[in-house]
Amino acid sequence: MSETQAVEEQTDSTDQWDPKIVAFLCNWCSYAGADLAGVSRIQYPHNVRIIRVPCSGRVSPAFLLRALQNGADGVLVSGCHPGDCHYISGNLVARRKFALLKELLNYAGIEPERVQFTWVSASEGGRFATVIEKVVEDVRKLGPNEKLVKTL
Amino acid sequence: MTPSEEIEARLRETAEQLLRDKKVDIFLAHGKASLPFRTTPLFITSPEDAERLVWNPFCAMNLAVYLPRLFVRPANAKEAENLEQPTIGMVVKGCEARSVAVLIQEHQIPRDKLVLVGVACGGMADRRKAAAALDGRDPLSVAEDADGNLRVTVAGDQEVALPREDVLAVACTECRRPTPELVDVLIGDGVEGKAADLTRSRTEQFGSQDLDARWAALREALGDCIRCNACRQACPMCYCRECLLDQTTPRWIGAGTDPSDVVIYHLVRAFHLAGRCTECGACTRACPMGIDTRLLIRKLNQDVEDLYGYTPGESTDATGPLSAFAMSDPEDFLTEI
Repeated sequence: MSETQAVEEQTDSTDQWDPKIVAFLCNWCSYAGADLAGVSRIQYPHNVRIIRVPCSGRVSPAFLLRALQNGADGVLVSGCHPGDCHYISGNLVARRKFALLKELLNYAGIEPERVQFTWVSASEGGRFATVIEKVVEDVRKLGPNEKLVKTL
Repeated sequence: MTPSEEIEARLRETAEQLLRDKKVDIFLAHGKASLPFRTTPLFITSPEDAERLVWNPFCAMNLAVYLPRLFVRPANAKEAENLEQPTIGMVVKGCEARSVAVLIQEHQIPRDKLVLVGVACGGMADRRKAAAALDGRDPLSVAEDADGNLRVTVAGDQEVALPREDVLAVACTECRRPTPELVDVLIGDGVEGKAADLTRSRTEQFGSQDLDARWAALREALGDCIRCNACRQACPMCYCRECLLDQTTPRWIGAGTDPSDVVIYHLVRAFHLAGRCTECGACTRACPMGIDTRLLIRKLNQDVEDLYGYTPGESTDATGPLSAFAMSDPEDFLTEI
């Protein structure tokens, strides 16, 4: 079963649309932040699907576009705060990449709220929950992703 | 003698001299094609062949696209030591010199094996624009007058005058630096570039539409794309031996003309050229469907310039904008909570 089909089936099973967010979290900060949110029993929306990556610098624009193409309604990338990168400068290189990507997608006519970037440290479980709430809320306002999704 | 004929004579002379003195093994230039409005890439290896070299308003092709393939790239340093690389001479316009600079900067070609013969370029004609201006009449031959305007002979021995400005390729109408900077010899006087405002006004015009109108305009602009990948093949900066597009596990971008795949292809292609595109317009020339292939790249290059103060092709030893960073880089694009 292709990813698109899988996503569609989930959509069909409920009448009401619920946003699906794919979150790329860096192993050293944001993923640990999400973990902390969990062990601290902090509630946050269930709409997020987490993919663990070694560093926010590992995230290629192709990952994000492919997620949107396969039916994600929004994408989040989160890494360590600048200066805290496990690999010294991965997030700083990523920052330039994401600044350009966000501007490019906006220019191309894709809602800027669909692709979001932020920093969450390993001690910020509460912040992680707030970020997810914000992203889900933003994407819910936009409605389903219809522009980049592949329908064939 | 027209300006182009003068340049042509000096180019032939320079190429012949370089080959005769064994300063270069191959001289890379433009040659006469079988049709008017066309030229063909020419690889000269003997001084006698220098007279096959031509220079006219249709020498638009970016020859730098061949360079990475002319040099062997050994797998390890040991092999590199004993390797004999050819020395290559080449005609460069402003845009080609920038492409060469980026290739040197990215360690794809060695500077010491290149002899760059620069020509201050007055802008190249777009063969499609020229053909369209003839209203369906077939061109038989084309000449240039003293002011650089075209005189096309069409069937029935009629002559049609085409002002150079009217048939300039889109990239040439935007060219800010037509005089090549990275050269060993420069032929002709420097030519003044166009103001940066022109490119900017094109991006601003597109960007000033609202979000959904931009999306509709993009889909419209790319609507004819047949995904032939000609824009990638023609691009001197697209030298990767294994392209993301050709990977099948995973297949990042579908190979067909699904609208979603087409848009993602153009987004990814543009992104890979961010801060690397030297604005030669090779992609637009190569496109069989007449798409404005630089629509997204114009914007990216402009952002790179505004955010990181970097212009591709200006230096051979700078670090690319996406390989570098500064603690003070702007991050107002981040999600605020």
